[in-house]
Amino acid sequence: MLLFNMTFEVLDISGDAGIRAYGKRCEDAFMNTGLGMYSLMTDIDGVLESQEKDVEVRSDSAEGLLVGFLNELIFQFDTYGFIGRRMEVTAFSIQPSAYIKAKVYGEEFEIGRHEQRLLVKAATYHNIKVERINDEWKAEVIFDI
Amino acid sequence: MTIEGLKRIDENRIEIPKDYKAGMKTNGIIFVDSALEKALEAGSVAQVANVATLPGIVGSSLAMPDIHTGYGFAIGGVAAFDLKEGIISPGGVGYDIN
Amino acid sequence: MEVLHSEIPSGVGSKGKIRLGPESERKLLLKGARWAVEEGYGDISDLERIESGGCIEGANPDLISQKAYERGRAQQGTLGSGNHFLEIQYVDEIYDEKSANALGLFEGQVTVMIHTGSRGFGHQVCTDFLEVMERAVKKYNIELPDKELACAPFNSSEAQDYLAAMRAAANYAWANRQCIMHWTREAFLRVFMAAPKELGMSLIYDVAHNIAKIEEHVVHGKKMKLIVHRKGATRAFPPGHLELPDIYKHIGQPVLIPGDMGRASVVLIGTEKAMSETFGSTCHGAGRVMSRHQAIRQAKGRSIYREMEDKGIIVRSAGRETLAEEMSEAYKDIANVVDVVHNAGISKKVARLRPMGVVKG
Repeated sequence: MLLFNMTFEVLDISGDAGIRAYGKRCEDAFMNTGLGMYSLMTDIDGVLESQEKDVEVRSDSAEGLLVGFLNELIFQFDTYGFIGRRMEVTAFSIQPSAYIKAKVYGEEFEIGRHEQRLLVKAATYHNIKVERINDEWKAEVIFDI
Repeated sequence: MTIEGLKRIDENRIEIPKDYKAGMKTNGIIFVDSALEKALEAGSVAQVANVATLPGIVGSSLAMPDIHTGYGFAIGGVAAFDLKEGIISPGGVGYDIN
Repeated sequence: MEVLHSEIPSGVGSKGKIRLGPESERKLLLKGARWAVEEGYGDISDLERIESGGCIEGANPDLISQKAYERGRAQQGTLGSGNHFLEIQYVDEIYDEKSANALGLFEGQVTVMIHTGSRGFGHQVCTDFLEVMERAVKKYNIELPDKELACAPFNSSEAQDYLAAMRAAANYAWANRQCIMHWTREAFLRVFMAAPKELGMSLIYDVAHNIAKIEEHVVHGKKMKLIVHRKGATRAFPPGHLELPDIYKHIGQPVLIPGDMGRASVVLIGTEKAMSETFGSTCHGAGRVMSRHQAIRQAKGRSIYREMEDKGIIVRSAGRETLAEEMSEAYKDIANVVDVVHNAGISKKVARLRPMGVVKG
């Protein structure tokens, strides 16, 4: 599997934070947005791949799918402390009805061992973008912090 | 930065007139003195104006001096709606409820 | 500070000391701070000093998603992160002697301020209902200048469901602060070997600042029931208002405005003018002037921890970045913000509180 590691950047917005991510395929851009979000929460290089989580989300638009996908990852973190460092997208479509199925590899967050960065409350629709530019995909999302 | 189209009411308040943006049902009032006015973001002023277009808004679309851009509604925003004609919006409360 | 930092869970990924079963979580959503008191967190006399008695009626636990239940299960009694904090402060200036007396505030007195909310539970309620509202906008043909204003007609089932769920989240927040206040008192008890009552650790007031409430207001000389949205704004009811407890009826509702961790916080009271001009509302804090990353960049090579210590402020924070993001310069000066609401007459300054110790998430 190709790992488009670090192909994201942090967006600077007053009060909040965002991620702009790229990928060869749309699902890669989605995946990189997810990894970018994890990197807002902690240093993901310090995360082990000792657990895996299956994530499945449906929506009626590409934007809705991205927000739903990230909110699912936030839910897994906030509820079970699960933080990922790598993922594989196993099924994906942005045509209605859009869906994503992914396997996220990571572990349970542990204070002391993992750096505590930002607490991400939610992914929002604010200035959200999912677009194709030439032969690359770009996804952009702003989080409520 | 000064934002065009705003009118100072008195030392502590500026007005977003009803004709500032199409669809506004009422004016907007932001509580800022001239020093804090300089710190106003165009985005948050637009948000106060946007709230003034919502159905059933009563009185002015208000904002406090700690205003900044939020999700849909500005943070520091106050808006009241009629129970018959008005609406309720999660964006008017925010993620961090209470 | 050490005891407070270890007793009160804070920061990204922290776990609460309370595990809620399904039944107790439902109860908590209905009862708010009263649930906490019944569970032994704090005193029944605290409740009258909380906005809405720490429990808003009309919450409906049946309208809460499974996700919100799960997210809320382990987060009761946690501070969170970002701008949430617990501060030990002292009163360094009194502006209004009479009101300060009524609140029990005097110069040199030590106070504790707790700023947190409904945590992941409330975030999930908001996330869930933004989706519901998105559909409602289409269903009821509401024209919006911005998609983010998604809403529903107040009388629709979508609106009523949101209101009932939001109220449950508001109750979650009131219970949360009640638990944290209880542990704060316990920490003082352990360190000073004296009971909270002997230390005079009574609650001054607890206010919400992200909430929508049905309230009665006078509009063009006519009494009207309205749904008032306050987002980053604090209720500031005037003296004599029916919703105020007897102890504060003669002065007006206390308003707590947290500033940044290096400067000050301010206590104010509500006024008649707030009632007539702002639906009984005032400001809620300082407001940022720097984005988080700007702040982190500015703080590069500096030790914010040391700088705070030089000012005599002890900080206990989980994240180094959180500390940089939350440094004083990242915020407007609270004094300027409060002066505007004071001079505009929509609330009145009572006392200024300076930080001595800060627990940050």
